[in-house]
Amino acid sequence: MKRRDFIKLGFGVGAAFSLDTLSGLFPAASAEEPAATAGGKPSLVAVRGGDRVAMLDAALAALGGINAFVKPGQSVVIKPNCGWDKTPEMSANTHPSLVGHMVKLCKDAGASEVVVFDHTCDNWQRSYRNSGIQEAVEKNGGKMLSAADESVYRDHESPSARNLKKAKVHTAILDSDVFINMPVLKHHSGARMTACMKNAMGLVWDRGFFHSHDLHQCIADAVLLRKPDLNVLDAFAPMLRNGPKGKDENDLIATHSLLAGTDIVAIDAAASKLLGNADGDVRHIDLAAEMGLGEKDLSKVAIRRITLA
Amino acid sequence: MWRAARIVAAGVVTSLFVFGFINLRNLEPAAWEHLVERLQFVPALLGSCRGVVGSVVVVVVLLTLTLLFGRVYCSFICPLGILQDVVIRLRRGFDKLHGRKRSGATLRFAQPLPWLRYTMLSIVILSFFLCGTALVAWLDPYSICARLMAGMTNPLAATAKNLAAGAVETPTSWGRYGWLLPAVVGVALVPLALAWWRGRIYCNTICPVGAFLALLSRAPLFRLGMNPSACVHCANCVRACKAQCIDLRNYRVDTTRCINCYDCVSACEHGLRPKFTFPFRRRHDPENKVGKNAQQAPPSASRRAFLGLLACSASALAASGCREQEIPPGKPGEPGDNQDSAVTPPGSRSVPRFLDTCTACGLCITACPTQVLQPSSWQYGLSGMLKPRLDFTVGFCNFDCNICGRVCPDGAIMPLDLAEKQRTQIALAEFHRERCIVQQHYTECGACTEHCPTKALSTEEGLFPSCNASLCLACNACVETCPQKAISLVGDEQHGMHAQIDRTKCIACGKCSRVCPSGAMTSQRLLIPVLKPELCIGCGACTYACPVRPERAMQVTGRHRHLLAEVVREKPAENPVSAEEFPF
Repeated sequence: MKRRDFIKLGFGVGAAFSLDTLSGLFPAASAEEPAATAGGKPSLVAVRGGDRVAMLDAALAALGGINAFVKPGQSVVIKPNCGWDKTPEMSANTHPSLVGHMVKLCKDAGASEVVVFDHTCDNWQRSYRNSGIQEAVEKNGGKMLSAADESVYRDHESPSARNLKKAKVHTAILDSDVFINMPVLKHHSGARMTACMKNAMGLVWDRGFFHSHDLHQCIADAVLLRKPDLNVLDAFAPMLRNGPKGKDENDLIATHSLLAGTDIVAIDAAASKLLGNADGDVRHIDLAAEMGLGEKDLSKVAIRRITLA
Repeated sequence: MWRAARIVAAGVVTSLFVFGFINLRNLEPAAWEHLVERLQFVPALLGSCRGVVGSVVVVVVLLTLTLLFGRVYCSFICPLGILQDVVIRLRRGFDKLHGRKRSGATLRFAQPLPWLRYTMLSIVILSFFLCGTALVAWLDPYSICARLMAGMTNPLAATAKNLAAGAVETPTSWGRYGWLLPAVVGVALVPLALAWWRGRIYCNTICPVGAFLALLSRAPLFRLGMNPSACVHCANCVRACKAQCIDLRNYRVDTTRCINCYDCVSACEHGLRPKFTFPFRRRHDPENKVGKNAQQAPPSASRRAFLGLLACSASALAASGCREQEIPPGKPGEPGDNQDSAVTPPGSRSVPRFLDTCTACGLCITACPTQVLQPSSWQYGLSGMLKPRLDFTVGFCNFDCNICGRVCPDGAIMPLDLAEKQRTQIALAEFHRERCIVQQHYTECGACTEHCPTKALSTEEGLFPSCNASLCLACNACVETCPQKAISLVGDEQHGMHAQIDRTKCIACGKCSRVCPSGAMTSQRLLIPVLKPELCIGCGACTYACPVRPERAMQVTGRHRHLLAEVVREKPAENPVSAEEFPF
């Protein structure tokens, strides 16, 4: 889809909202929407077929627009996956166009400040820079925060967690009004898949704790550190193998999708299928569902599927 | 004018020098950024020996400058010289403050001590013959000053930046030198304390570069000369001379000790000027009336001894090359017998070559974005003190980075292009399965494999057995089928026997659960690392990330001689689900 087409669509979506109905807006969308979406907003929006920014706009439109999540004057923290010193084409990090666009949307919605950080695996400055995210964020009026020093983390307790009852969490997560989780979908050699829940490992100081105290359980527990107000998953060119760092472009598949929503478990369950996993393959999804953090049975989830022509 | 030019040059050199040791943003260094380090004599000399073209040019330029003007290096380019000048200046201010009108009490003409400086130079050259740069690293003025910068500048700059920002933006990491910092500072304080006491005495007694350049500056073409008929014996020049080399009685400037600061020229109003003097006719120079009575600079005995040693130094270099050749080349997939405990940076080629060339200036340690390059204490032995090693408990070598080779001024770490660096096996990983969290706790981990850039480490599914004792018939089927002899029957006749698995031996093959007739033995599918050593480049990411303590499950041991790892390119991945519709 060309940008021009998208803008047309965007106007269409806007106009539709003013009419207070959504029916018939997305002619290519699947007809078998669960009844749940008829009344309220979907908890999972799956978009495919457009460029990343267009898909994000379409997903947000279906979720009620950015204004449903960000109110004027609120501070926003966006947590992309920006953990590796890799260029955007390698899909090891969330694509900068998405992060930049989200910063812009938040700013336009009246956010007092938009901060972005990740506790990176590779050197943080190189990862911020070479992922393209730093430039995209700063260009759109956001601010990149360091997460490379223990002093920017604060103790946080989550009593209902099973293993990760206490962790040092980045202060931006604890102090911001709105938390937007923006990971990228990838294969993961240990957790089998990294998407929305796994992205929370970049919120804490001691990642080693996760690995040594049942990785899957800790990933599920990490949702309790702070549940994201909105999750946006970049599944445009997911890494199918050799994840999460990847070797070369041959590791990527062309999915051209984006998932967004408020149910973190549902998004991960759907994302898992995009990578060809069977139910039960990714244990942290089952654990999180078991803990009541979201719905893993997609037949019970209000999904809106959108295909951009 | 001469003095002003010297001060300007020193100012530029110092700024570039200090700037070169600040690395707060981890940017790729620009080509010009470390020029001033490359202009230094010892690094350039070592670089020339290692075939770095730029270094050869620098050496030729420096030697030509010395033959033309004398020891300009010592005042214009040498950072330790400049730092000493600052100390001498402070001393003068201090004296003034305390009402001592003349610092002449400390700086006056002193007889030369050529035997001392040539003995020092001989020792340094001999030591190079015996143990590479072990001693040079402690005496080379550039390296002394550079280490001081590497230890202090970056943390101070980071602290300043954080204070200015009102938040921690840049982690300070004083830890790069840690408890070695006092040693680094202490070594730098020796010449500085000497400078406070007696000016540039370090440069003319201990410094090997000073001694070497002294040999070439016995009669530079363009040198200081006094005009005895104009001289009023005010001794301003003598008091200004930091090298204590102006002999007013004989109207002579000892050019072998003169460090070309030109302070005397500024102090003198009566004809002390640098001028062109043809070297071979100096005894007939009408202005130089002292003629034969003039004290001849270095006695020829020590000079001759030195020249003999110079020949030795050439063979020393050849010998150091041989030391590298002595190590048998191994295969990238095999541990071989050439492993070493300390890991040298990619581009250093081998441990002996590295130890023979590196002067422990710390520039690469400052420039390394992951801080994996740390000054060594005893890991290389005494000759490797403070030279960088890769410390995988602090960080790991960034796959897409080759900065250390690009900043190294002396060819100890050769610049590698990224493709070659990404194949250079500096160390080899070993997987100790029995320690692995997956094996120990039956929970997935993947910390090592997720960091592996070459995918020498990947995970594969294993079937990890557990025995439900209440269902176990103690039939011995699993015990007999286990290829690892990891299963035994435990318990007693009274309470019943059941199978027990030794997790340190199990290879998760799943045979036991398949043969179990009662369903007591069940197995769990878990991902566990597998290592293809021929692909490993020894970046240390796996061992850095491994959460097992105290002994990590991933161990990395250094290659004594670096090898080239194999590279496997996989076919494009295929989308496992429909590209048209959502699979949910």
